[in-house]
Amino acid sequence: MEYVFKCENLSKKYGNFTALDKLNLSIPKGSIYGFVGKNGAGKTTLIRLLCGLQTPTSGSFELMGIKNDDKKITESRKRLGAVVEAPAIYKDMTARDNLIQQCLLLGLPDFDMVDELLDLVGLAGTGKKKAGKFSLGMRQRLGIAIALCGNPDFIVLDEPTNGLDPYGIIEIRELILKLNRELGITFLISSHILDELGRIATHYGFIDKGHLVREMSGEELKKECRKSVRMTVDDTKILSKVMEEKDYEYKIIDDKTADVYAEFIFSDLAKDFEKAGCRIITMEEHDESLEAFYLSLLGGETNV
Amino acid sequence: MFRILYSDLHKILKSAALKIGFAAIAGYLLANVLVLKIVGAYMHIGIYSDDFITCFPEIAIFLITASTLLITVGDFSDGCMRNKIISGTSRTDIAMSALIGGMFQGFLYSLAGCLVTVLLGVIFGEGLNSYTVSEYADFWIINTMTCMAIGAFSTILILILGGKKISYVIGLAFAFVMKVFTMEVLDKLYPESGPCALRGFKFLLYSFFEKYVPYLYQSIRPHYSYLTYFIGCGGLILISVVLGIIVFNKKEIQ
Repeated sequence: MEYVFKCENLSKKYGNFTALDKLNLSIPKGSIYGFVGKNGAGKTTLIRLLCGLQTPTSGSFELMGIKNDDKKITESRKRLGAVVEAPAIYKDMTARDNLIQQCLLLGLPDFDMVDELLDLVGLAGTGKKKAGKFSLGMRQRLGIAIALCGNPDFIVLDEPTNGLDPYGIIEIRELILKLNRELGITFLISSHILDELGRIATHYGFIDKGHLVREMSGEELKKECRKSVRMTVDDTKILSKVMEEKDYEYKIIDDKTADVYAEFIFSDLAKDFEKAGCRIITMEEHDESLEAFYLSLLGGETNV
Repeated sequence: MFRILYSDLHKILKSAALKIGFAAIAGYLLANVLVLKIVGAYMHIGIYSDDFITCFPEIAIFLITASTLLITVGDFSDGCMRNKIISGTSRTDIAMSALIGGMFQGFLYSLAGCLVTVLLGVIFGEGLNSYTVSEYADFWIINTMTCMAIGAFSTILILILGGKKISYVIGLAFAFVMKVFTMEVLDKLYPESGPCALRGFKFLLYSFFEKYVPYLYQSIRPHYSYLTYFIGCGGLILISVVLGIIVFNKKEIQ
């Protein structure tokens, strides 16, 4: 398999704080790689190293087949587009001027793609409005348009849906999928909105305290995300008793709701509940979300 | 190198900071001339074009420092410095381009200062008094070189500080300290009455500063050879280039 980015034992320390600790990660070409972790887990640090903003303390990485200590690595970044943390825009310029500025920076021979890009991210009608007066969502779109300048092979998006309204989130999602499918652009996306990431990512990397906890494909994740049956009952205390008798795994959600992780025959279970003196009010199949999987992987903290 | 330089110069010309700077020059010089004109009318004396030749240099250090601060710190705070690195430009080229951008700002401000001063001189002045035309031209050429050197150094200072907010404090404080130091050096070397009282090492040190530190050039009528001023301005630019390339290549960008 061909990879656009690979790192081996990559570490980054800030004084005594270890932001990345011997990280090993591979991003396959053509994938949409969802990078998941809590605040301070090391996601942005990895992106900064990848983008050449900072240098690793130890370990190495390859970007589009070029090692980080090779002088050609700077040149290889011409094939990279990125929005790191906040979108990088000149606030006293219009959206169009910002894109022209990026074209100049990349040494592009003409500005033909500027109007096309503005149209693509829905900023074609902003006219002479300065980027400083844009809403957060508009800035995010402009940041993505800037990252798209020069037709990059690999785009890094750090929280791309930050500040976007639901309609904007759908648009950006569609845009990422379109660019990935039609142009084969590889994406590395770090996002806090895990369910949103779950809709587009083909590969996942889960990071915690600078370590890669798990790396898997979308298919593997689907298999791992357990299905459960969400039951609403009269009394979950009786439900607990029945589940323990039958040795089924379960999780109490509140005093009337519980998730059961087992395969069983509904009518048999209903009889057992009736015997125990408990009524089943509703029963429905429930998929474990990416967020729930993430929490189970890292031990239940919600700050993702 | 040329693509980032072209991009940086394009950005400078489009920036609001530059336009504010030009407006500040025009406003400040006009106000100064009007004050001189009113005082002159009250005392029944005419004013000459070279009476207000030093108006622009009085504010040039602060103006250039503030402008480079707004433009270059803005590059960091807006995240555009990250874009430059991600776009595959070497850090040496980024530092060199920023430095040339700083010099360009110095050049533009000096040019604007010169044009406005000359224009106001033609409108309100009564010709040259103590300067010859050649000395007047020398003054502006040396002033332009000085502005460019200060622009380069100020920009590199910001790159060294990583564009942090503290750059504003340090940049302007440095400009202020240099202004005060200039007054101290010139006051001691050319006292209002009597001969210079400085002796030995202090005299040599103060003379060196006056001769080779561009920050002092704008406060006194040029009286050394062009070579001296070239060495002073070139030296400061060279220091900026070396410092900028060494430090910025190792700088961790947030």
